[in-house]
Amino acid sequence: MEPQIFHIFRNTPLGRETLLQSVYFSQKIKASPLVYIPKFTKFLMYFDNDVVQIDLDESYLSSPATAEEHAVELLKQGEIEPVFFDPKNFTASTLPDVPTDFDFMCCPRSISDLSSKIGLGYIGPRVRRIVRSAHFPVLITSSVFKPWHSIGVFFGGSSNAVNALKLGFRMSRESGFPLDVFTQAERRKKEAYEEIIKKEGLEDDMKKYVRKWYIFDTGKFDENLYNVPHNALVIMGAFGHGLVKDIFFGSKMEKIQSVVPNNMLIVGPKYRALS
Amino acid sequence: MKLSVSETAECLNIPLSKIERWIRQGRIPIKKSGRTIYFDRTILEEWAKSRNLQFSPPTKESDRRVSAAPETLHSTILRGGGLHIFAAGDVNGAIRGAVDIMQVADHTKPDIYEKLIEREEMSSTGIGKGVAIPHPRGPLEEGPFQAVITACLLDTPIDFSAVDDKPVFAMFVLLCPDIKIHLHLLSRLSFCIRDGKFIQFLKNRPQTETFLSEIKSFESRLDS
Amino acid sequence: MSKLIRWRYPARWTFFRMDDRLLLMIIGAIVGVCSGLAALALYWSLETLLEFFHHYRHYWWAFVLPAVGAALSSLFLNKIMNEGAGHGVPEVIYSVSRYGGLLRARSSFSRLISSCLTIGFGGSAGPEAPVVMSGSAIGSNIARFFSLNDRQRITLVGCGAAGAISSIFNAPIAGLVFTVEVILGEWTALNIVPVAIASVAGCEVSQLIRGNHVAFAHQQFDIGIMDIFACIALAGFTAAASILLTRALRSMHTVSSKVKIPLWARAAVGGCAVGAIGIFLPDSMGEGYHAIQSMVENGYTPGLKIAAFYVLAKILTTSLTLGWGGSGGVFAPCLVIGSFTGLAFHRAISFIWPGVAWVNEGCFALLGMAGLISGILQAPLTGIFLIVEISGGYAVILPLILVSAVSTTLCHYVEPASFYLKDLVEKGQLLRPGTDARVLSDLKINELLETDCIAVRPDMLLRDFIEILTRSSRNYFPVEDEKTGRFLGMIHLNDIRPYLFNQGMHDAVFLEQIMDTRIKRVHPNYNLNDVLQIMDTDGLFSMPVVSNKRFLGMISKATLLDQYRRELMVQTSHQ
Repeated sequence: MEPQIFHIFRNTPLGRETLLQSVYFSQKIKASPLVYIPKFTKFLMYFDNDVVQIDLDESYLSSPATAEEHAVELLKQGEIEPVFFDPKNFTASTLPDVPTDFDFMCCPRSISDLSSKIGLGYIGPRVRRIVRSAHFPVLITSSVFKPWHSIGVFFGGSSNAVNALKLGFRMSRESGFPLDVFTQAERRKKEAYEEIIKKEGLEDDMKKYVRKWYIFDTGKFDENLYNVPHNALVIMGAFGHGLVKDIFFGSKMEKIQSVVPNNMLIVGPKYRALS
Repeated sequence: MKLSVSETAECLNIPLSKIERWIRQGRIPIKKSGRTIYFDRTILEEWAKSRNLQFSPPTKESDRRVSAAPETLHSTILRGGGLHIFAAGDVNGAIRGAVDIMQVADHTKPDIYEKLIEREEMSSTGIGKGVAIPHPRGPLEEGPFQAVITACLLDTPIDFSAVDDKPVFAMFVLLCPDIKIHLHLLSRLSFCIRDGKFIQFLKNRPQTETFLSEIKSFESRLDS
Repeated sequence: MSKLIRWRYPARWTFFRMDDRLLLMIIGAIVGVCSGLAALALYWSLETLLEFFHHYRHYWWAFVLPAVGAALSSLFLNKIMNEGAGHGVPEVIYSVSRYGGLLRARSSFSRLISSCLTIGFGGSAGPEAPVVMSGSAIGSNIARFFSLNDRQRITLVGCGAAGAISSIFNAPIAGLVFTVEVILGEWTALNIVPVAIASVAGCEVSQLIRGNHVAFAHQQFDIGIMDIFACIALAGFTAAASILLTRALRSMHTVSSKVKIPLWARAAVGGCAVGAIGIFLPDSMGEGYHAIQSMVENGYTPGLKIAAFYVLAKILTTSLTLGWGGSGGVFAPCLVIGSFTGLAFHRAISFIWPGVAWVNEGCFALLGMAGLISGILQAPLTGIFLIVEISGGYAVILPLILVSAVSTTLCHYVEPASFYLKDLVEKGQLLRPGTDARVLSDLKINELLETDCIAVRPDMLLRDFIEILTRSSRNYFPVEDEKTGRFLGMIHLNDIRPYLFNQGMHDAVFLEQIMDTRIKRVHPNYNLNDVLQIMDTDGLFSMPVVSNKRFLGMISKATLLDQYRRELMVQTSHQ
């Protein structure tokens, strides 16, 4: 079955850029987008062990008359058959439930706060919670549509990073774009990372898909991030360690997302890797 | 004994997504070590039993391989000792003769003979064009446990009350451990017999080697 | 450091490796205490607010007070908490039946505050439904924190509800029975024990803080045979009142939703009306426990006509408060309406047959309450046990059972689903455990997919197809476009049967000429219920599952039965 990407359409110029990004993503990995044009400012997502209420900002409801028309136009341009999501279940009369069995979900950096906050260095709390409890990776788009022509995976050795790497292989296989791997070596040697790859049985895939493995022994992480191509889709794991460690040591994800403006595919701790 | 989630799905013959849902809903007893989930086999078996679910233990790799390689006419005729030629006066005599030279354990022979005759009395196994395929009605209890075909040519054709009333000059006695192999071999055999050239070839009384190579070439045409 | 990390993941504590039942009992007790405290918090803040506003009741502008309260509570719910209005119990039942009892963390306090505003300012509504919602949300979130599975989470949601009810009424059995009858819908040993413990815990908390105070102190009732006959008639009246209340609530809701003003203004309009009625009939405001108290203790002075009038007034104020957007439940209003009904009925029969030695008014007030609760909630056991516990004795048990049973039955004729479940039943969302709807909603199409079909090309000759036929074990063959992989149609063995032995046709017919292109197809997102409906109306036994013009597999009744049976056995057998 084809992968499905869930997209919440916002009928504004910003929403157009986001949808274009989803359309491009779908074309590259042969996915079919499922577009939701919200009729209420809130909806619920029931995950395995969490329920997240998403409060959309008012701009999602603006000019509902033209929303479907605009979305259809954008999808048709991308030669994709428009499929819209119509919520079937309602927790309360104005509170639809959105299923959570997609393969991807497209989010702007923030979906519940004002759009003024959509900038680098900020990922809204709801988006974080989706990432934390979802089985699917979340595509966080750049604010302006930008096609990507390579894939960059951040690999730090954790189990989440392994999942991110597996997803990178899959994306590279589907899209045919080259894959780069970035590792900031901290305290560990290169061999240690190779050991992890070997243990996971990913050696063959490494050889097959990876164009270059950047291992930075020196320099600050932020500075090394300049090596990430400007037109790469960045894939990384998030929230692999738990809250405490994040507070004390800072999370790599926070750093990357505050410096790199690229499109990002974020893999949460509950992500189930498909090979 | 520990079972992983996917092994359990296989044992219970249930889709993986369903097992995952059951785990989430707490309907199936699980064990946890760290983050990984596994099942205890004895607990699981008891659980399955109390809910009337089939639990088939995981099959080993080697078991699968045996069933994977199907029997061929060539291998079974070879097992039966190639082509035999003898003389017989009537149906019972022909079958008696075939059983005598059969490559099976001696103590099973009386039973095999009895079963073959029993089948013959129900209706003739002469399938036309002078060929008969005597076989018992079902798998025999005492073996053979591998399929065996005893290929025989008779010195003089005998009356077998075959479907087309032609006298029978060739017999293929089929002994199979199960019905599936029996049907499989029977369909291959009938494919050969349908061909007029093959009948002609048999009438020329070939040597065992040429006979086997002819069978092989027929089968390769079938498999292609 | 490592210790800290370990505390972050409670699901990994060794404590959780122990027995499932013991675990649920312990956490159930914790949940019961928490929800009991939540219930007490609401109780106390209501008392304080009512006390505070008591002095202002005599001013001419007092009718605005309920309007202010309702508007504030609506603003709070919709703007600050971002939750829809409603009393919450259907939401709990919905979540229990569809999502394993997952509830939002914010629900654990939002309804408490909003209903406190509505009722405290004088709106006519009950605090019980909000308390049940909070207790359930507390249970659900504790279960989430410990990463428990759906079954355990549902039990803890029940624990929360039970703790809340038993704490607010000081009635442990009523809490237990309400949970099982209304929230969970199934009696199993696995559920009952933790719920009972939570109920006791909630009750104990309330007794520790409020003191062991039985709502309506033990009274002596001498019930004669005439009273029993009167009860049956009373049940008729309570059933009528229940139906009237249900209808009034619904029609108020439809009326108010037609008014195009903001939600908070809508609530204010309703509140104003309640306030205006309240000037003349003060007992129809608030949650009304004081009025009940005086009625049961035979201290209610106004006469028959006023009591009868109050029944209607209370129904009106309740529907004005809740139907126009105030926050709260119907439980307490039910009790008030019930006791007014009982009282009016008693006065009426004493007036008509003054010679008969009727039992006192208080008894009939109690019976009326039970009748209303049984009628509105269609939960007779809850009504019976609640009254037994709040009246502190079994003296009235016989007429109680009679009134509850008759009232439930009568209401069931007119309104087949209870007040809490009506919306769910109408939308087909009530999935009680072990029912057909539940099993079907749990099974997903991709669990039933038969993928061992051999796909064929449209330009294939019949002869080649027959060749494939010999290798296949199925009767259905999807036809797919070679280049795009699109699903074009289906070939069933029946379609080619006439040509099977006709050698002449073998080389003359292409598959695209035989295939059925108009065959009904289903999408993997379909509900099984809908799929079965299509199968039944069209007399099909299997259908192709197609997504985005690609064939995924077949779904057939045979596999469905097989999986359905397994699912049913796993869902219904308990150890």
